[in-house]
Amino acid sequence: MMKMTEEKYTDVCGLILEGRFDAMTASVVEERINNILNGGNYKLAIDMGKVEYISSAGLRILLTALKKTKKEKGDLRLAGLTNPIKHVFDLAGFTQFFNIYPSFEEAVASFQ
Amino acid sequence: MYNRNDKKPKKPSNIIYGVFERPPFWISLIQGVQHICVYAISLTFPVLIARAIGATIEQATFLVSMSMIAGGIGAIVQALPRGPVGSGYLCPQVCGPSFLTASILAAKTGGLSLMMGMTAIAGVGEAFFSRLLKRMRSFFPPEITGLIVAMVGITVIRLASMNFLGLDGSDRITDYKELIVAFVTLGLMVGLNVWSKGKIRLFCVLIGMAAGYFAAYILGLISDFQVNEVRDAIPVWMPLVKHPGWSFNLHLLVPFIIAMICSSLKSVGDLTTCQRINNEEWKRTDMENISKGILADSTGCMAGGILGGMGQSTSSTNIGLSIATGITSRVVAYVMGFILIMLGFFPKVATVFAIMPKPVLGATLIFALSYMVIAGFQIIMSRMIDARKTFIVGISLIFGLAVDLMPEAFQGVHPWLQPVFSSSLSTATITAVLLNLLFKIGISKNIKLDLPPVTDSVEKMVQFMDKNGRLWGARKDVILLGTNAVNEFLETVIEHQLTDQTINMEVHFDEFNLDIDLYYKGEPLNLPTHRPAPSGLLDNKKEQLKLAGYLIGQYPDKISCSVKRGISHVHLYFEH
Repeated sequence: MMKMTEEKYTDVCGLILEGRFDAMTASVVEERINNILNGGNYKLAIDMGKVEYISSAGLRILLTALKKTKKEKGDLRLAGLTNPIKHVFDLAGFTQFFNIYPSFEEAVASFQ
Repeated sequence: MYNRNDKKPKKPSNIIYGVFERPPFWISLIQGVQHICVYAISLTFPVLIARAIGATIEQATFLVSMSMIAGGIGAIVQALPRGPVGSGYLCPQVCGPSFLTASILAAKTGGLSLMMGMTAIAGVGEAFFSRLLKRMRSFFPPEITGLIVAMVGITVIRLASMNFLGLDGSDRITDYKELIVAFVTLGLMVGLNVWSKGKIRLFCVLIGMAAGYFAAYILGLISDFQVNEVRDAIPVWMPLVKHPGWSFNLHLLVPFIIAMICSSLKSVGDLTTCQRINNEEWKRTDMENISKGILADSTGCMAGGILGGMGQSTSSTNIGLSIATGITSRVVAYVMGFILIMLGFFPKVATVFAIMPKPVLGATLIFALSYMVIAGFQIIMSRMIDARKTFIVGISLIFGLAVDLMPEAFQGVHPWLQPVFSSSLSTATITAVLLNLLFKIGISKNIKLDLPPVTDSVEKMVQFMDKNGRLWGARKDVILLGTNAVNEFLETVIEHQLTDQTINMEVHFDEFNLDIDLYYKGEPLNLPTHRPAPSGLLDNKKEQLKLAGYLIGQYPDKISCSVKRGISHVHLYFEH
């Protein structure tokens, strides 16, 4: 199960994820991110603080979304990665692609 | 305590001088004295025994002196790092509360000689018991050792609170002066421990106790009679010449054996705490080390019986002190043991401890016990808790507390069984061990799950692992690693259509290993040892498969993949 909460800021869209980010939930998250991007919001901050697990399917969703935002001169910034999640990012070599912030607030503020 | 080939335990950040380290001599000396101050609290037990049989002052002093010598021997032997005896830890022994009821019974039946004879027998029994412990690991999973550690603290709450408020059987009114002394002592200990900088934290107990004694003297809580008692005490004596000899009584064997078992179980908890506080990466109780520790405990108990003191048992309060001060060096145990043995020959110094004002004693206990209770609950929560574990811990805790809350309800118990109900600790421990045995019924260590190659299988597997992890009382982090590895595996097999048939998952768990075997009819997994370049990940299926295979291989400690008659087999091994 994955719980998602969207938060709107002046120029930035925030998405808070809670639960396991795997093949079971990947399509739901992908759909939500696509909705945000289709609405013209290309500055996206995702709070990963409550994500318990991320699989390669989850990683791919994030990488695809990052590419889409970059194409539109925006960005996808991640926040609050717990140690196990950060470990998976490091293993997969994904840390280099994303701007990662300690807290969600910092990730949102970084767009200002 | 660890073999030369083993990795040396990682010292936790809150420990200043760890078990292997040698503090400067003056720090070891003052720490030794601090530990003796805490040890002195237990001297109330031989005094209680002497009072119960109307013994002379000389007999009482003999009992106290010999208990100190036995305690000193026990502390030194316990700290021995090599050989068959001794856990290698700073885990001093004190006059064991578990022996109190049996000792009073023996002293009333046949005098001090019978008490000493039976205590020596209990020591021999404990030595035999220590040899059995290595094979009894399954009796002491972390939730039970954690409960014992917590109960070791909880069981003394009543005694600590009564003393803190200056109360006892006859004195039922708290004087404001007693409260002042109690709060000065506790406030100083806690304040110095929390806010002080530099080395003052190391001596917070000694400073607190000294201030408590001073405040008690100024406020008149130390009477002239007590001052005279110290002044009139003999400076030096040879206590052995006062030995009354030994006698034995078969009828007292049962209460002493029960007392010995209760004392040993408490020591299991104490030694587990020592292992934990000295190793940042502690995972489970080292029963080999516990076995040596209990053998050392028996040495102290035998020494008590042979020399003429009370049965000795490891001291939770002293362990609490070592956590509070951040010094767990075994050198302190040697210094403490040596001073304690010397004090046995100098009754005047021992008398200073014997007149310790009740509020000072209570404050010191409360200070040290805070650490014990928290350490116990931390051990309990280090494992996954399911309904069985909840009841093992919950029921045992409640039964144990009932003994403290309603002692009158257990007064009619047969004298043989009185040690079981003599303290909340022994009741809780025995209840927990029995419930653990009962709840082992119906728990299988080998389990199987069939997973059809559909996405819903992932959730089914996650729930299956969580449920069984709790049943086994496994470490959360290890179960999570296994779950995540299988999650990635299932996603990969399903997404890349490596099979169209059911995947068979077999899981085996024991306290040391978690093995997961995955069987499916189809193409074997590619498990690259190097991370694939992320460049082609979004549109190249082959690269995606490589990344997934690489990630699966990163979770377990060992992984292997084989194919036999068209059946692919992935084995994941996790150290527990």
